[in-house]
Amino acid sequence: MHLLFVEQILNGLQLGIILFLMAAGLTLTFGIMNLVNLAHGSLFMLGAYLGVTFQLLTGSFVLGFGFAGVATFLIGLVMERLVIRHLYARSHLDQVMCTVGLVYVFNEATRMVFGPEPLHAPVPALLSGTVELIPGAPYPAYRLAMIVAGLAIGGLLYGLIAKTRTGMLIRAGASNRVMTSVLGVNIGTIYAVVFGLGAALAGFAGFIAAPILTVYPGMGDNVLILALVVLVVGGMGSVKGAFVAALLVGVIDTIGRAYLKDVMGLMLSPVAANTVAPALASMLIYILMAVVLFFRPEGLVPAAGMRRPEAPSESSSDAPPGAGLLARWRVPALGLLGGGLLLLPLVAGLADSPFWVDVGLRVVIFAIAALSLDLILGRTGLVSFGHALYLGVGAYVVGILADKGIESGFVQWPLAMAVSAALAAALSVVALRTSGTFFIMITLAFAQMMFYGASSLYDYGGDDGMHLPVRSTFGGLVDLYDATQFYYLALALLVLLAGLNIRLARSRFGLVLRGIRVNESRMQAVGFSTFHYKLVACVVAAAVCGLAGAMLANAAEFVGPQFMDWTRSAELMIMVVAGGLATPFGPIVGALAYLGLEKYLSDLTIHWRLAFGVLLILLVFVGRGGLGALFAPAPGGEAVPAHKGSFRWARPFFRPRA
Amino acid sequence: MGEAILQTAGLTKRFGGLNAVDAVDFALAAGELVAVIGPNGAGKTTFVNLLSGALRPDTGAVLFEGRDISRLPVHARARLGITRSFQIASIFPELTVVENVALAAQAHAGHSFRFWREIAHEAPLRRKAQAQLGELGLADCADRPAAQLSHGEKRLLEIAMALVTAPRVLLLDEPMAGLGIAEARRMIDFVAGLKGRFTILLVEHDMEAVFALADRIFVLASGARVADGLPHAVRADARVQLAYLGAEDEDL
Repeated sequence: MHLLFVEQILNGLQLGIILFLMAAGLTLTFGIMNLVNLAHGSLFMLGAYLGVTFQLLTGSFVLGFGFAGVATFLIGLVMERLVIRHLYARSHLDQVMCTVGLVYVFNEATRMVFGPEPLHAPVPALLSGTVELIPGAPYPAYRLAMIVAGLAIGGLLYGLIAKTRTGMLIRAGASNRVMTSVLGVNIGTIYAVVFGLGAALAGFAGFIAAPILTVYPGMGDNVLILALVVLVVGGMGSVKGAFVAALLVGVIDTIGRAYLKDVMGLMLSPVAANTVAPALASMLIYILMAVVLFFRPEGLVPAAGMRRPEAPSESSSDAPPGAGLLARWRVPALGLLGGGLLLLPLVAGLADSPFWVDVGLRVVIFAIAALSLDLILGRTGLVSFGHALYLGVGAYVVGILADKGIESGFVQWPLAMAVSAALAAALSVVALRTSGTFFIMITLAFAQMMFYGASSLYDYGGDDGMHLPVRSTFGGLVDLYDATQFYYLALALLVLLAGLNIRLARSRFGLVLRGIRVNESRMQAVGFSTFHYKLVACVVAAAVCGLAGAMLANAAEFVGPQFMDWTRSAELMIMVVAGGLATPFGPIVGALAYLGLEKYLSDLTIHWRLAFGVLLILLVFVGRGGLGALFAPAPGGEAVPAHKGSFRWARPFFRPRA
Repeated sequence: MGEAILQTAGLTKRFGGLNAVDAVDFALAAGELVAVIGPNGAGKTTFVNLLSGALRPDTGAVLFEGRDISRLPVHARARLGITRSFQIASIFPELTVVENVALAAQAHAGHSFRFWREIAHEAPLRRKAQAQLGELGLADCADRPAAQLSHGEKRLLEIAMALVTAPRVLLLDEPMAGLGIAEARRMIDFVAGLKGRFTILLVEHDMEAVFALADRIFVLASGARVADGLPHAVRADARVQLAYLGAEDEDL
């Protein structure tokens, strides 16, 4: 037990070191450029792939190591020059959308080049043995070397920043970028170097972790989310904080997984401990994060003298190019949309393509989910990156109740909403203590926490999810096994919710949300307790999304953790943005456009995500206001929804495929 | 003077090593108009932020009608009746002028957890806002988007948003800043019209405005109180002259 404990601590440190190398790059780019880079995990993956490939080619571990660093440094420079540089002055929402696009591109490109099968990374012969640190407890030499190498890289980083001329410029740029550039330093070069440096650190981390992890496309995404947790716990922009928090998170996660079951076994019955412990262990670090945030919103080691950067506010007066281009088609377009949705089952019947109704049902359900996200993202300006969480919660409520023999939708669906709302209330009380980038990361981390929690529900399928034994029953009123009936029920709910959305936007509450989006501190100064209004918006949005989740479980006849995967949250966000923020019809159009495009591209090629990623990046740079802006009433009439973000959407490169 | 409505005792705020506001004792009596002046960097805006709740003091207290409100957040103080206008016009540009004022009135007319009833049909809020705009001479542009107002009009709108809440204490943070001569005159006349009806704390660089309006002048320099008294006494005070002459003369 004692020796095993030492071994677990070492494992924890080793995870911590990997996380530190990832978090160091993230914290530098955030602290200095005020950039949220979600594509940092892709650099981790690229480091692993490129380094291991070079290692296999040359037979030298050292050369592989060097190549991983150099290659990712260069990729980082190119990435910075082509895309990232244009994001510094943009809103956090733009940054999130664009870097998610990059994640799609990198993951899919990797899959194209290296294939979907995991890559085997060999351990160098020199380090393949074991070391007896403590007599009787052999420990793999490679894992020990990882810790040493990580510490060495960290030490070099510290030396670079604290002792060298470049480091001095970096520190100067971080504390005052305008002043630094006034002094004649080319701040653009510093940014590029910092970004490249962060990329190389991620590349090193990916390479040295490769032999003990599975190398596969997308391997960086989970590490990225852990690194975000480290960032939040340690304090953004602080390298020292990242170091402390990374080790803390690594050790707590490892020890929790190893011992929580034993500890809980002391207090609970073995059966209960066996059920609860794995779920709790995988959620432990997220709980740690929530606790730290609640008591120290700035993190454990806040960066010295760093003001919490706010998203650059942009003037909303300039209308997006192409806005109102199709304004006179607004009514016909809405008519077409409404008519198309209404008559879909009829048309599908005539065309003898009944599966259209199923596709339509999916669109309607996602439109409801996107509509609920728009309440917080579009109307209130809160960039929530974990909304799919409630899709999953709603689905699990239906799945678990059905499993227990409670099949009535009159019980299941309201309960799905209530549980989602209650969970949102608890999580939002913590999340709303923060703003801006922190809020993005915390919502993402909470969703991930529930994802792992759900994956540990072994009674309900664990990772694999569960088949829904029976669709919800409505006492004979509606039969969900009849595709047309289910479709019209969902459509009726969508119409009802869109109607409520329109009313809400014009109510007192809607006006308060709008005020918060534009200028929250002014709202407080005038006497609004903005926290409570934001909290209610989050709870309402979660309840509606929970309803969508309940429907999705029925439509798919399946419930699984995939429902709350972070890519799902990203999808919902893309739908809202593509359709147009803070508009009642935008999320509907967005859901139609997204799912239609997904269907179209995936029929065309298995690598559709690559094209999709590119479209997403273009959406940020070319589109503004989403599809909705095209149909917006002419300037001078009702104002175009002006979000803090700035989505240009000039050219309709994808139209909703009705 | 009557009973103090707003008071500070030993109020201190530090930023790093700098004492931005340093052990300030201050009292504002009901119905009084006190001007707070001082050279740049004297801590005037920090002082207003401590009163409004945007900042929490490190030590010392802010008292409202004798009650310690040092830990109350901004919105709670606003609901008690301590309302401020901002140095940088801080309005809602995409809303119309009357909507801006109605939104401020809404904050003081019950809660806003009303999800169904259309705001456009809440006649009392709108009437109140219209009346307030009339008083400021902005009635004609009530239905224009606030973004289209001139700089001076935005300042007036800013004050309308504060006044519509019937404040107990009105904190005016440099209402003349950036105004042309004619607009500044209009603003002085308007603030003069508020005297006696409202309790006002005026932070201002424009000495003409200060001496035309203030019942009492409170001078801050390097975060500390230098003088506090009637305008003519403050004008003659050697310490005040030193504070201003010691710094750059930036009297506009």
